[in-house]
Amino acid sequence: MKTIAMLEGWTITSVETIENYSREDDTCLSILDEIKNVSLANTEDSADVTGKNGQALFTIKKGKAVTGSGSSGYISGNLMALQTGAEPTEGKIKFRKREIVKFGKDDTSINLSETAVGTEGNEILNLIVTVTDENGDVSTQYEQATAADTSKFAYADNVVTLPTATNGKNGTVEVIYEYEKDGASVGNKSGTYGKTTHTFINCLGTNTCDETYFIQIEVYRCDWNSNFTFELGGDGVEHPFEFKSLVDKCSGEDRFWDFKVYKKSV
Amino acid sequence: MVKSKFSLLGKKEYKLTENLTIHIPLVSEIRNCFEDELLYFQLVSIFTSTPCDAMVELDDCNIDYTKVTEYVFFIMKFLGLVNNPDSVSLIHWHMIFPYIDIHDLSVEQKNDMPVVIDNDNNIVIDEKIYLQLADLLRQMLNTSKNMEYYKVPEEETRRYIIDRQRLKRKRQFERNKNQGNSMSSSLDGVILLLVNNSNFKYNFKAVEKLTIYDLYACLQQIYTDREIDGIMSSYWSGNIDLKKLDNSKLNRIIL
Amino acid sequence: MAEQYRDCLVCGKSFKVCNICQKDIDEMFQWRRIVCCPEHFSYHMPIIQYSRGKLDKDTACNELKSAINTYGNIEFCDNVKGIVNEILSENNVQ
Repeated sequence: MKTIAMLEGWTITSVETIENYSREDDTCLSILDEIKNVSLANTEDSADVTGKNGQALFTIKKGKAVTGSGSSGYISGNLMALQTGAEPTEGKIKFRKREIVKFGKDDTSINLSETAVGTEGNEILNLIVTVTDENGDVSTQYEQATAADTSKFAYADNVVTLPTATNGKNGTVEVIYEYEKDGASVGNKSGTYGKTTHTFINCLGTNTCDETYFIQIEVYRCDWNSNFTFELGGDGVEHPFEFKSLVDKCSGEDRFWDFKVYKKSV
Repeated sequence: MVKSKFSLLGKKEYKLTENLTIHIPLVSEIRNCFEDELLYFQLVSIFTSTPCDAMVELDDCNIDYTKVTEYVFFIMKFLGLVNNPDSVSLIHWHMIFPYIDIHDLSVEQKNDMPVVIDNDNNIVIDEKIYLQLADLLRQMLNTSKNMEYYKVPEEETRRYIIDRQRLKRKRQFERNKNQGNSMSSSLDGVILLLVNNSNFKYNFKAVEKLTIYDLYACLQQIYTDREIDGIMSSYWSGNIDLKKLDNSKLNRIIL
Repeated sequence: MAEQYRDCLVCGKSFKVCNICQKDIDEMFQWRRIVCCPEHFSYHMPIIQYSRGKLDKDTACNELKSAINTYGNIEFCDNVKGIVNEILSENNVQ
């Protein structure tokens, strides 16, 4: 085997980006570009074939495997989609809200800060009115109806018409509802598992002459798994990830990954 | 810490050449108020920053940062000062150069190289002197020369590095903008750590009389002592093999 | 979890609510949240949309009459009786 000088003497000084592409149509599925750390562990199993006196005659090597892990400096929804196997969605996304609104003696209705959404007649998921009277604070849960009456409230266009039983009293209303905003969402479904992508780890490396070159590690079949833990809150935001490199049978060369560097001939 | 090329301990000035003496400011001079500190460090950075620090700005001017030497980069920035000397705060200028007035300096060509000369036509700064001056200032302020990504032979890799740097700068700018301006001195944390360390002999009042170099040297000495104490504790408790450690890691003398 | 009951928004009959079933269909049509049976949903929609000003009287009247023709006349609860009478009343404005 001839030694190739271009492959010698590298220090990877920084991992710049990890790009994940669909294996079917090369769509870019996610890009991570604040990589805190990444490692690529290569392993193999071996068994000795022994002869007289237990001397090792030769070694059978098998079970080659490659696993990788690391963490990104920010949480990436697209990476979550790869890890959980979910499809991210964009459009009207629902958010839940709990509001507490005060009302006075003269108020027969209250305004909500957002427009509640849901089945018509059931936009308000829960409503509790706490009224202050001579008996102290009395809380009562009410149902939504088409029109407000003694024991029911109505809702239309951000306005909750209070039950008539509360008229002439002071109090607060706790309202629970959902509202929609233009956004994006990614979930974790129980029936789906991590996707397999064509992944490129782009790095910058320095050789023994202190020259910086672009290095790319191509992982042909990068199988993401759902093992990750978010430490929510606090100063450290990290999105950890794990993957396994599967053998790329399709190309016919059975490769796990390639380490690539280029340099113009002098 | 930058390997000590110059003996600055306990000194308030350093005579680099016949025509150039550098002032080593006291902690109190720098910490007078927030603007003083910021302006002082900004002025020093004209002498200590490298083309790698400004790769994005040079690219915006269509200049390849790998083709610009440190000295040429310095002259480019210094020309801005000498052409507009009234924009330079004299107080901060004298905190670096106590015996030279910026109004007396100009940049001229001598032997095909730009040099900084004074009114008497003496060479104040040429390339050799500049490299010494930059190293001196970096040693004084406990910073290192940024030459990362200076040697990048491939054009595409250079373009990639500059684009990544531009993106990172933009993100940092947004982060700083969201966090608001910090009005605290960068020396506050260092002083607090040192004054509360039993090995440091000075209190809050006395530390103001130290030079900035002495302050950072004390900090580095305390860090080194602490690290070596930790290594020796691990050795005595049988957790590390000293034979596997380089001897330099056990040397308490840092200068 | 304790079973939840509420009154049907159309006939007032108490029924077991389910806010979880059929989340795969459009929320607009999840009748189990508000009425006691799918038939009453056809009465509910024109009534509530008219009361909120989303449907004009003629359209609401047509939809309500269509529900009545399909599923028959029902006893509306007191909460919506007034609105139903208003929708079905003859209007001299043409």
